[in-house]
Amino acid sequence: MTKGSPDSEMGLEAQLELLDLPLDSPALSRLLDEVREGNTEMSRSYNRTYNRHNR
Amino acid sequence: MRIDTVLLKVASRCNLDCSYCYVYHMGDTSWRAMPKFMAPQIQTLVANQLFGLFIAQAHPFAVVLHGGEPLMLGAQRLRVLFETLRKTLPSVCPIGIQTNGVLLKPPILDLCATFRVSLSVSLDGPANVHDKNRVNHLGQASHAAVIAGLANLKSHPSAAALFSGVLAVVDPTSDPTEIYSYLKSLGAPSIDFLYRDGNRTTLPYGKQSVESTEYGRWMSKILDHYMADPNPPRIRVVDDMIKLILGGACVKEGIGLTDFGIVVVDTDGSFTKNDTLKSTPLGDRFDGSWTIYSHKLAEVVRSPEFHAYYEAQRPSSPACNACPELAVCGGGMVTHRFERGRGYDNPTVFCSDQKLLIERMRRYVANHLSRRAAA
Repeated sequence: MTKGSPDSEMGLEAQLELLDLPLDSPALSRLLDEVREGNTEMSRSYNRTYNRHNR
Repeated sequence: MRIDTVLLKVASRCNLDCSYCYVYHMGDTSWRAMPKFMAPQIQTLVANQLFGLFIAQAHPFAVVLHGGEPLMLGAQRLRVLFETLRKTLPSVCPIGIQTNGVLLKPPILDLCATFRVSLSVSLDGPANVHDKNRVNHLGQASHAAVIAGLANLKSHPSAAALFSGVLAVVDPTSDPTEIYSYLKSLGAPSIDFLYRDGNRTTLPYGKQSVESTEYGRWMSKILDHYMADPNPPRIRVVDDMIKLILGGACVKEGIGLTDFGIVVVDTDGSFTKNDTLKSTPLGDRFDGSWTIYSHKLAEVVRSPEFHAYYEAQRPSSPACNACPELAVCGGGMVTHRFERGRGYDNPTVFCSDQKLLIERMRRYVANHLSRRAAA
C-alpha cells in the first residue's frame, strides 16, 4: 500500500508480517515510559484545544 | 459531569472556503443568520458566565476561539477579547485558537504572546494535497499563505509557548508517506489527524462503504512510519490510541471511553452542542434555545437536556458494547455514528478503519514488548 487506493486485506496482512521484523521503536518506547510514569497530565501541545473540528 | 472545553465562535465567517467544512458545506446554514463577529458586550457576558462555570464546577476548562476564522476579528478586537477573558478567567484556564493560518502576522502573534494564547494551525500537507480543498472564496490556493503564516509563528520569540501544533484532515487518496514526511518537516510540537466528516448514511469522502477501510489503511501507513522513525514527532491521535492499548489515558475526543464535556457559544451568544454535529441532519442545536442573555451557562450544563447531550457520547449500540476494542476506539465521534432512521445509536462509520488500525497497533506493541522482554 503506498496510496489510499483500495488494497487487498491480504496485502495488508503481508505488510503486518513484515512489521514483525526486529524494531525497537523510539515512539513506542516514549509512550511506554509515559504510561509507566502515569503521565496523564499532558504537555501544553496536548491540551485538547484543537482536536474536534475539520477546518 | 464536567465541562473541559468551551468553544467560542468569535467569527461566523471564514476567509477560506474549504470544500469539506462542516460549518458551511455539510447542510447546516445557521451561520448565515449569525452576526459576523461576537460583539464585545457578548464577550463580556461570556467571560462572566465562564467564570461562573469555573466556580460552579471547581475545575478549569480550555477556552478555544473558533469560527469561521477567529483571526478575522483583527488585532484590535482580539486585544479586547483577550483582555476580557484574561481579566475574568483564572489563569489555569488555557486559551487557544484554531486557525487556518492565513492571518498569522506579527501583531496578532504579539497579542497572543502577551495574553498567553496558543495557536494550532490547520494544514493538510504539501500544496498538492492541501490546496485540493483548502481554498479561498475565489477558489484560489491557500497553502503558500499558510506556510508564510507558519514561518511568522515559528520565528516569533515566543514560538515555543505559542505554537501548539498542526492539524491535518486526512485525504485517503493522498500518499501517507509524503504526508508524514511533510508534516514532520514543519517542526511542529505535535501533529494531529482528523478523518473527513460523514456518517453511515452520507459516507465520508473516499470511503466506498461502511465496511471499507480506506482511512484505516492510510493511518496504518502513517503508523508504520511513526513506529520506525528514529526521531519521531508527536502524533496525538496515534499516541492516544496506543496509550490506551498500554493501559494509559487519552485526551482526544472520540477516542477511548473518557467523557468529554464540550459546549459551544455562537457569535450571537447562543449555547449549542458540539459543533461537529452540524454535519448530521439532527444538527447542533438544543431544544432549549439557551442564550447568554436568558440563561446562565452553569445552570444550562446542569439541565436534563444538556445531560442527555453529554451522555449521548457514550457508545450505546450493541455492536459497540460487545466489541473488544471499545476501550480504545470509544465508538468514535458522535457525529460519525449517525444513520438516517436510527440516529446516533450505531458504531462509527469508521468502525472497520479503527479496528484495522488498532490491530496494527497491537501488533507493534506486542512485538516491541516481546523484544524488550528478550533483551
